[in-house]
Amino acid sequence: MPKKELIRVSNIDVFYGGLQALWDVSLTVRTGEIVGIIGTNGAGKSTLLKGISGIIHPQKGTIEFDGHDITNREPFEIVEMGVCQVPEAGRLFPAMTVLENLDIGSYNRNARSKRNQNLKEVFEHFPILEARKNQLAKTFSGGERQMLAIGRGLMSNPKVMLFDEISLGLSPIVTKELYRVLREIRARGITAIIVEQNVRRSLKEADRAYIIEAGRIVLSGETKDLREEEKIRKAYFGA
Amino acid sequence: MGIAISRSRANLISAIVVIVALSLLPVISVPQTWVLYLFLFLTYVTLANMWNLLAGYCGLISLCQPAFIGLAGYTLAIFAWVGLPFYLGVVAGAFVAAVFAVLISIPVFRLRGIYFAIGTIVLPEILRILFLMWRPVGGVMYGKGAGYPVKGATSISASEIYWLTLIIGIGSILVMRYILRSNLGLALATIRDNEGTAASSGINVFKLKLYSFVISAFITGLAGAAFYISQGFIEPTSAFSVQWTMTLMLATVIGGISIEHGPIVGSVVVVILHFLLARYSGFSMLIQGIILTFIMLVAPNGILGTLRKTPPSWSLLTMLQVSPKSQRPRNRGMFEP
Amino acid sequence: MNTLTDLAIPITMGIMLGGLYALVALGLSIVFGVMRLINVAHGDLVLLGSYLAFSIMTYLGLDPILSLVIGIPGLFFIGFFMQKYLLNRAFTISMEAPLIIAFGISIVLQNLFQIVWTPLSRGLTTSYTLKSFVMGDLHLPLVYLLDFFVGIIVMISLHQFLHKTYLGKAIVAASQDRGAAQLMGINTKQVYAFAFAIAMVFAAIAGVFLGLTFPFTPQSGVSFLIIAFGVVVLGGLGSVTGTFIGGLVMGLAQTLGGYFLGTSAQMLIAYLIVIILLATRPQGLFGR
Repeated sequence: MPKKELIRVSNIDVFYGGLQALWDVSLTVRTGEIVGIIGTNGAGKSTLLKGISGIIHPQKGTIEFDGHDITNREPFEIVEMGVCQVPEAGRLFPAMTVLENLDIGSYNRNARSKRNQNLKEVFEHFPILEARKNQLAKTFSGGERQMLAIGRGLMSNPKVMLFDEISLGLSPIVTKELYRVLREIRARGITAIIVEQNVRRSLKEADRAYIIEAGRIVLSGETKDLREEEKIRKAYFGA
Repeated sequence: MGIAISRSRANLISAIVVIVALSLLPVISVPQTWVLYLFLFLTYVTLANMWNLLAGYCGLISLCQPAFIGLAGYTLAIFAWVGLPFYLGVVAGAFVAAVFAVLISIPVFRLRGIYFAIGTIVLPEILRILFLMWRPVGGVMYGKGAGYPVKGATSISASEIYWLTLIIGIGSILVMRYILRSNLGLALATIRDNEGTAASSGINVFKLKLYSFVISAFITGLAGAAFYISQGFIEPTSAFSVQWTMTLMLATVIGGISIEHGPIVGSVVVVILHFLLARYSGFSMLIQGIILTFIMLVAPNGILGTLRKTPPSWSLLTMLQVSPKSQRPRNRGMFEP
Repeated sequence: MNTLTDLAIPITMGIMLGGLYALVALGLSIVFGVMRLINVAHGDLVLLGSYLAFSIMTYLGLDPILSLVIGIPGLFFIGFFMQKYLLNRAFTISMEAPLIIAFGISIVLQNLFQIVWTPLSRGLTTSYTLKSFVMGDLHLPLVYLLDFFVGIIVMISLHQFLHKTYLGKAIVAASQDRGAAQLMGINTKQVYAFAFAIAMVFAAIAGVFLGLTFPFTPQSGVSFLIIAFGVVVLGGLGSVTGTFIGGLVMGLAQTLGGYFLGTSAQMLIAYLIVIILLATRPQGLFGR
C-alpha cells in the first residue's frame, strides 16, 4: 500500500544571513517513515529544518505539508498543523521547570485538550522526567536535556517530528537510549526526520536518507542501499 | 579652452562661496529674522552633527546632550557673572561639558544600548534638580527659580554671536569630515557593525567611544554656551530640557542618521519647521514628535538615505554623495532568523 | 531618639509607596523582558492613565478607582495597537528604531498633555485622599496604604497569570527564548502585543494611584520612568520578589529624599541611586 506523502520540499533555495545556504533542494517524507538528513557541519542540514519549520522562508521553491502549501507560513501555524521541531541542543526554557517546559509544549490549540494524556505518555517514555518534574531545566545534563526537549516536542501532539542533531555531544549509551525512544515514538505513528552528523547511526535508524553537502543534495535513497554505496563508504567510513 | 575642474575642487569652491555668503549676511541689510534663523540653523547643525557622531557612528543613542548644553551654558553664565570674557566662558563651558562626559563615561559605557539610553536620560534630570537647588554665585536676580542672567550679554551684537556660531557650525562639519575619513572613523564603523568582532580585532572599543563622547560633549558645549549668550539668561528647566534632544534627534533622523551630511539637511528642515510653527508654539513640539515617529517608520534612512537608494540624477546630490563605507545607512533588523 | 521617631513616618510611607512603585515598574519590566525594549514612553503612558482618570472624574464624576473600568480597557487597546502598528514594525527597521520611536511617542504624549490639560499641576482628589489612618503612634495618609495593597494584589495576580495560564506561560517563554517559543507554536507577534497591552493595564492602574498620591504635571512622566527603571534594575527581570524590593528601595529613596532635601528635590536621591546602580550592577541585584 503506497504511503502518503506528508512533506514535500521542491527545489528550494534558502538564504541565511544574506548568503545562500541551500541550492535547489528537494526531499519527500512519507507517513510513518524515518528520514535521515546526513551531512557535515555547515552543510545546510539545520537550515533545511528551519525552512520546513517556517523560521526561514525559501526564496525559491515550495514546501508542502499534508497537501497544504506551507512555504511562507509562520512557525506557529506550522506547529499547529502538526510539524514539531526538536531544536539543536534542545533549546529548553532554562528558568522553567521540567513540568513548565512540557506544559508550554502543549501550547498549540490541537495539543491543549490532550495535555494530560500526552504528559502521561511522555513520562512513560522518560521516567526520569517524572521523577524530576519540578526541577529547573538549566540544572539538567546533556542527555537529560535532550530527553526533556523530545518530551516537550511530543506534548505538541505532532504528526511529524524534526530532530536536529539529538546525539550531539552525548555518549553512545545515552544516544542508544534516545534512539530507543525514537523507535517507540515511531511505533506510535509519528513520522520523523532526523538530522545527524553521525552517519552510522543515521543509516541504521532511518528508512531513507538524503546526503547533503555544501547546500546541495548529493545522494539519496533507501538506507539499506546507501550503506553499500561506494561513495559513502569512502567518504565517511574511509574504506 | 576647457578647464576641467575636478569634483573635489568644485566641492571646495562651492563650500567657500557658501561660507563667504553666510558670513556676509549680517553685514548686508537682510532682515534680522534671517540672521536669527540662520543662527538657529547653525546651532542645530552643530548639535545634530555631534549627536550623529554618537548615535549614527558609535551606536550610542545619547539622551544626555541637554546635560552638556546646560552645563556649558551655566559655566558661561557664571564666568560672565564674575566678569570674565565671553570667549573664555564659551571655551570653559565646553571643557566642563567634556569633563562631565569623561566622568560619566565610566558608569554609562558599561551599559549596552538600552541601559545606556536610560542612563543618559537620568543625567539631565539630576542636573536640572541640582541647579534648581544650587546657586554657586550671586543672589537671586529674577524672582524665583535658579535662573541666571548672562551679564553683559547685551554688549555682544547679534552679528558677533552669529559669526561665533557660524565658526562653531563649520567646525563641527569639519570635525565630522575629518573623523569619518580618519582611522577613528574606520574603527567606529567596525564597532557600529559588530562590536564584538571589532573588540577581538584589537580595537579598544571603550577608548574610542570615550573619544567620541568627549568630542561630542565639547562641541555641543560650545554651541550651547554660544546659544545662551544670545539668549541672555539661563534657567534649569529649559537648559536641561528634553526639547533639545527632540530637536537634534529630529534634525539628524530627517536628514539621515549615519550619513555625514544628514544633520545639515535635517537642520534645514527643522529650522523651516520652526519658522512655520512659530505661531503655534504649543503644537510645535507635538508635531515634531509625530514627524519623528512617522519618519522612523516610513523613511528611517532620512532624506539623504532614501534618495541614495534611488540613484539621483541631479549633480547637486551627487556632490553630496561622498561616501566612504562608514556611511552606509544601517538597516539590520533586531531579530534575525 | 527624636530623629528616629521623626524618620518613622517617611520610612513607613516609603515602604508603602514601594508597593505602588513595584506596580509602576511591572509594565516596564514585562515589556523589557519580552521584547528587550526599554519603552522610554512608559512613564508618559502611566501619566496618561492619571490624566484620563482626571478627565473622567471631572466630567463624569466617577471616582478614579472606579474610572479604571473605562481606563483599563482604554489603555489596553491603545497599548495593543501601539505595539502592533508602531513598535512591532520598529524592530524590523533597525537597532535604534524602537528606541527612537518610543522617544517620539513620549514627546507626543508630553505635549499632548500640555495642550489638553495645560501645564498646571493636577491631582486626583477625592473624599479619601485627605484621610489618614493610625498605626501605632503614627498618623499616615490613607492613600499610601491603598497604594501598598494595590501593588501587592497586582503582583500576586500577575504571578498567577504568568504561571497558570497558557498566555502567561507563553509570555514567559517568549521572554526567555523567542525562537524556541515560536517552535512551541507560540505566535510571538501576538504575544508581544498582549504583553504590551497588559503592561498598559498596569500603567492605567499605576496612573490612577499615582494621581491619588501625588500632584502631577505634563512633565511627571520622566520621573515615573526613572523610578520604574530603578525598580527594574534593582529587582532584576522575572523576579517578583526582586521587583517588590526594588519598589521599596525607590519608595524609601523618595520619601527620605523629600524629608531631607525638600519636595522640589525629593527625586534626587532616587535618581542618584539609579545612576549608581547602572554603574555598578546593571543586571540587577536579583537578576538572572
